[in-house]
Amino acid sequence: MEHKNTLAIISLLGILLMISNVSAIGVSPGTVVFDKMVRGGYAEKTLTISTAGSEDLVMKVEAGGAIKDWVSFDPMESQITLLKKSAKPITVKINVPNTVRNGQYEGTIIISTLYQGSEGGSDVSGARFMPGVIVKVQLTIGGEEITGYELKSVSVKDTEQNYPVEFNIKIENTGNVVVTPRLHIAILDGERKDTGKSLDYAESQILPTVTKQFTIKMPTKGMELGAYYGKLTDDLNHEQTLFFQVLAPGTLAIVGTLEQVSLNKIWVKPQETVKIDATFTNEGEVFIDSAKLKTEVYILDPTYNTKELVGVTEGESMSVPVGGTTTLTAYFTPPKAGRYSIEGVVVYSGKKTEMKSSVLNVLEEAKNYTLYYLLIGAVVLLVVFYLTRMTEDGRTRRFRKLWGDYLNIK
Amino acid sequence: MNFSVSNVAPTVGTVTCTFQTPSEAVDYNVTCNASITDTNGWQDVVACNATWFKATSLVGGAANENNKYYNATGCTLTSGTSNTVNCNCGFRVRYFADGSVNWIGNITARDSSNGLGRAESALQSLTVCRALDLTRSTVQWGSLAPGYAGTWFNITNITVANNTGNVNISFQFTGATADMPCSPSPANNALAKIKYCAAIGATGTAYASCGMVLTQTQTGSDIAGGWAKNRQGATPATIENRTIFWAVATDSGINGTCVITVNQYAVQANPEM
Repeated sequence: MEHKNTLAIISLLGILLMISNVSAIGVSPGTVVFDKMVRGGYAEKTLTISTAGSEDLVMKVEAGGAIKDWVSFDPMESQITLLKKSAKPITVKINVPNTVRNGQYEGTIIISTLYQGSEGGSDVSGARFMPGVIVKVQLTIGGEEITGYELKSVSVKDTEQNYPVEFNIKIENTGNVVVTPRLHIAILDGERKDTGKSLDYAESQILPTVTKQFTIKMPTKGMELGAYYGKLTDDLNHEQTLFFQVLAPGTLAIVGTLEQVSLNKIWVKPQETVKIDATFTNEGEVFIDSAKLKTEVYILDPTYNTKELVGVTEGESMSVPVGGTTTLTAYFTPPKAGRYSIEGVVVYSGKKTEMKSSVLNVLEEAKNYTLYYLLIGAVVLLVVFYLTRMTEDGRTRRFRKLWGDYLNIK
Repeated sequence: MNFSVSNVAPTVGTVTCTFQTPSEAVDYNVTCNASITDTNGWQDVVACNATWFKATSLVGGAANENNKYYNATGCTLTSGTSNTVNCNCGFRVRYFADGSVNWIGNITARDSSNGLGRAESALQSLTVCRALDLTRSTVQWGSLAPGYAGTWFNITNITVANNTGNVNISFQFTGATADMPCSPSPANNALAKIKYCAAIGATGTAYASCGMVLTQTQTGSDIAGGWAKNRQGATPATIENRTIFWAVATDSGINGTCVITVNQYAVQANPEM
């Protein structure tokens, strides 16, 4: 019986069957580097695992090598599902023990796809193949503690009177130890003069390599309606200044934005009228029944980098529906040559937009030299006529009489 | 306050480029922005364009999906006020564009008198995406007799793997080093074995270079690394093909179906490009 089986099997060995499925996986970045770490320190980085394939994948993510025991992942699940044609971030966290020596360490992060059929999965013995990616991890532990962070972004929105103004701040810890940024916000008025109102903030701890976003609320009690600037500084001498407005209660829903101020032409001659267009959008929730462009026109002096007001203009009022964009128009006629700055704001529903401007180049009027040329021509003709006439003796021309000896003309 | 008004060419400020994290086999966006200043006013700037190119490639020449892009999705001038206007440019970059070296964004601005200004970004280090697309195959060897001492299969490109990342990769196999799980579980600790080896050459006795002799008691071994697969667009484009030789053995007492899973990993090639 055994002999019979052997014969049967030998005849099958030469047959190779291939059953194909397509699956794909990619990992970015392909190498993870943690440098400038310290003993007992922490760092994290994000891996993006992706597939453009047409089947869902179940993955296992694990660490290997010398750093294996220092690594953890978020999410922590032993199996992670990656839907077809998608990408998923995985946070790699490193906690360096206090007891290790300074030096360079290497390890790997192994991302494997798991077979999802039943164990065996086939009536026939064989081997099946699953894709994976191995990412190298390089880690340097040194003795120097580095304190540093970076202001990634700061933003602020308008507020209504008696409601706090909110500064949204995003900071990245670029050092290798925990930092608590010390922030200072000073409120400046519309002319950028200090109002004396300020706030100090040092409540947010940030782990190394981590970017944290938080909000600082600052009371507006006692602040008049109007435009302000928030000047944010920190203990590492970063500085950012942001514009915001304190509005009357109930007006926050009225929001208009001046997109740009443009001219129909920017190269003109004196006394040539230009059309000023302001693109204004109603971004609020309320119909704006009156929006008007107001401009101030300055002539610029590049020598002293100064400007002098030479005129103001005002356009007609227009209504702007919610979500609508309208062009508001005014006109200006430059009195003389020079470079002008036309600075416009749109006044609407008791509010005013931020200023936008455009530059007008007024060229010198080209001078008409025709009359000068005619006069010069006439004078030349008269001189030639005079010199070519006979002298009083009736034989010698005046030119020869005057210049003959000197030019040796016989 | 009198001075002569004349044309001054625009100047391009700091060029800032950002890019999406590359995903497996998915083209991605790169944007480059700069603030352009023109003394004659922002409206005097009439056009801007951009180039996104590999730092090691020459400026100029034809566009190339591997190393040079010209205004793939165009540039726009926005948010003009006073003397400045922003130039925003976008590129749709192929997923295989070389991720092993730095890239540079260049923006050129032109004013109404054809005056030009240009600037380049700092070197941009792309994010490496290490990826493979595997035509997953199950190698079937039919039924084996109990106590079969093994033989070699000679299979070329047993798994068809495409490099779908932006750097060259090598392959590494793990998982088939020892025993194949069988169903039902064999009695008496009987084992089914698999062993494989990669060697250059597709036919003949190249497997001998692996120096493997399959016996019923031998454990398997992983395939050595250094089996490279270049990314699309790389030079040279050829793949170092290797043949995988397979050997299978069964112990006496095996009676069932024995299937093993082999992981084929993309690992860092040396060099990556």
